[in-house]
Amino acid sequence: MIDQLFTCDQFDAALSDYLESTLDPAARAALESHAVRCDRCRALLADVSAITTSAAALPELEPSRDLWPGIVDRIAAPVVTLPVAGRRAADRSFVRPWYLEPAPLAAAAALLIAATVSVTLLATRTSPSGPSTVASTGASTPDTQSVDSLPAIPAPAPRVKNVGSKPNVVPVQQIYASEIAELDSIVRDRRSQLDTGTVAVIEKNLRIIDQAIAQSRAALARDPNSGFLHNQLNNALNQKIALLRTVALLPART
Amino acid sequence: MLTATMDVVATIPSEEPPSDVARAAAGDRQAFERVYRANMQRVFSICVRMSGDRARAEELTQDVFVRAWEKLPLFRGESAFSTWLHRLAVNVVLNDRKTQGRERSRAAAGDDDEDTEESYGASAPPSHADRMDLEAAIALLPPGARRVFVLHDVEGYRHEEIAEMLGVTSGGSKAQLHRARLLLREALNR
Amino acid sequence: MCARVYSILCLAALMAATPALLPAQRHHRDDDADVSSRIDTTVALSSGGVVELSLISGEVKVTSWNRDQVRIHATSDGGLLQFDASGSRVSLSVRSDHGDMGDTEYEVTIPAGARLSTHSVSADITTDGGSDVEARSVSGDVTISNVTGRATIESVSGTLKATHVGRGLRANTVSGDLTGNDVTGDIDAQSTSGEIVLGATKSSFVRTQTVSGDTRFGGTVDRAGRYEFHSHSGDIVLAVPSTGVTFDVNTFSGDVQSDYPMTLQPGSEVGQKHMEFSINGGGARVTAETFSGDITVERPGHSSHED
Repeated sequence: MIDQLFTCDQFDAALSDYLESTLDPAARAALESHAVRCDRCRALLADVSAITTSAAALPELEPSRDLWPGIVDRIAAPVVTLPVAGRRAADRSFVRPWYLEPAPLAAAAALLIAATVSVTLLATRTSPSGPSTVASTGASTPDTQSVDSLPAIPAPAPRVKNVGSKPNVVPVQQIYASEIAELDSIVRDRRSQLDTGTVAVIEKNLRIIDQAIAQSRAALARDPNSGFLHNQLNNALNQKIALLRTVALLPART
Repeated sequence: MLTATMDVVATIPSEEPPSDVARAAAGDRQAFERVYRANMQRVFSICVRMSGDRARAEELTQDVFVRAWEKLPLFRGESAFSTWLHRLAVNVVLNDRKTQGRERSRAAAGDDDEDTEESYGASAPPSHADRMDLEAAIALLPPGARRVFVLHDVEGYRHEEIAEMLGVTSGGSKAQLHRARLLLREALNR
Repeated sequence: MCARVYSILCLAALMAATPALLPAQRHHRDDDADVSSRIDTTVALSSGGVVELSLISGEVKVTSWNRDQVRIHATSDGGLLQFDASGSRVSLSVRSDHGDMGDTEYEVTIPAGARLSTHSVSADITTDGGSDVEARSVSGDVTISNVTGRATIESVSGTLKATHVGRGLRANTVSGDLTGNDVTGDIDAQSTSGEIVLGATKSSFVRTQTVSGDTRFGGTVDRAGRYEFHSHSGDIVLAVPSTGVTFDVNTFSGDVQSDYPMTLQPGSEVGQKHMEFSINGGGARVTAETFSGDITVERPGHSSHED
């Protein structure tokens, strides 16, 4: 057995390990015998032991209010299902090199923006109140074929000019809603091709956008003539389309 | 995600049965509420003590559970659910920009000194009694030391785990812990 | 979508097209054992030519020089490098026939005036030089600098950084943070939850859009310019001069703070309704709009935030 005499400095250095019981028996004995002889270190040991004991025994704290309503608002947006005109068969012969600037898709995105605005207006009119209403596009079954090419985007239909006009909403809505469903299902298909971290980021951010859409819609429902709020909603919808489009174009990990 | 409708449980058990986590992962919001009630205080405590800010901790707690809801389908049971949830909480607090911003401006104002073993000095608030309680003293620790102290002495994580969570070395974690304990001792002995 | 497979040109064709070529060394075996491959070569590239690099994981480092040549040093743990070079285009990619290809590293030096296009899944991309530069990743960080032409950078979760860009920046991220410094030309930056920080910009058109990410702008403001900052719940901080600027600040429920006196527009109410403020100093039009994010307009040089 090695007879160690601890100095106060060595005591300090060994204190943490001692409290975690990771010192070898010789060192432990040396530390303890030093504490017997040294007032300063004995007091230090006693105080630090007391702190760690108290820390481990600290009670659980209570917030000042019930936090659940704030949580449930963010996770539970009732889903309004929009009619989907049936999935159009994707044209699998369309292959686009994934690094080229997707110009036709930009036009489609603009199309979708106009589309979702009209869709939004309809949804807002038909579902009056409810702060967290998110329009979704019906759960079409994901295509189980692996998607390594993009579906063709049709030539743009006549664009909805401005938000205030009353477009011929019903047939337009069906076409546009199915476009959104198409993008949505592309995104679902892509999941297995992306790493789980990225999928988690995408899903989290889609929810952030959906929440923004829901908040804008709710505000708009109370003040339907606000051009500012229409803009806010459009921006959020644009962001959603942009994100879905980005995901659709991401390269696979293998 | 499926949205199953379940009857609300009349009494909230103190510890949720494992199946509530599975149900919540499948989209059962009532099950998730039970999971929330059973774990909320612990998560809130971690958030308060690691961030040093009660008000912010309430928002962070909500963030933690929202994120837990989103990530629940990815939880595969490799660890106990509470372990998974607490790690998530630690991550949320560490990544919180507002807390970091406040800590940076506190540091800039000279309340924090990472390099020397400083005492609390002027940053210690006048106490209701002549002695500060442990909870208050923890809140006043410099951020790095506070996080390590809370994770190690309050929550019981090992230095290797803390090192991984905070992106520091084990040795760094031990040094911060030692520093935290000395600072707390000084504050409590005043 | 799989990475595009480039055809492998035979060495003779390469030699014929590029007199300055050093022989490419590519080792690979076609059996099931671990394939490792490596390319060390220099090829000629005409001015204005394009260099295309793509890989999955690993790292890309691009620098530039004054020669009309592309120097490539590439290694892959388990993938097969595919190299394709003509007088005006050099392409490098990697593929694997048996799944995991491990990490790939590209160290490439390009002519200063070449165009560059780099894509990765998780590899970090760092570039220095180039005329027009495009760098996209999924989870890798993208750091580009000294672009004389236009820069386009994208990542889903990686960090984006652009420094010294000559003719415009287009940046897109989902959750990563974006920083633009010393950018000249039009700027279009979008993020969902990542932060956007633009400093020392010389642009007459700036548009940023985020959902929950914060935005900070501190660049010069052109009297004929248009500057738009949009967010849903992210905060916006603008460090701009007040003279020669017309501000339009709009928020539904966020707070507005300003170093300059702003007039609350008639018809808008504080509280639940949106607030519209403006200063009319003529000249540049600066618009900031949020749903719930806070908007701060401050004097340049007065920084209430770190960095």
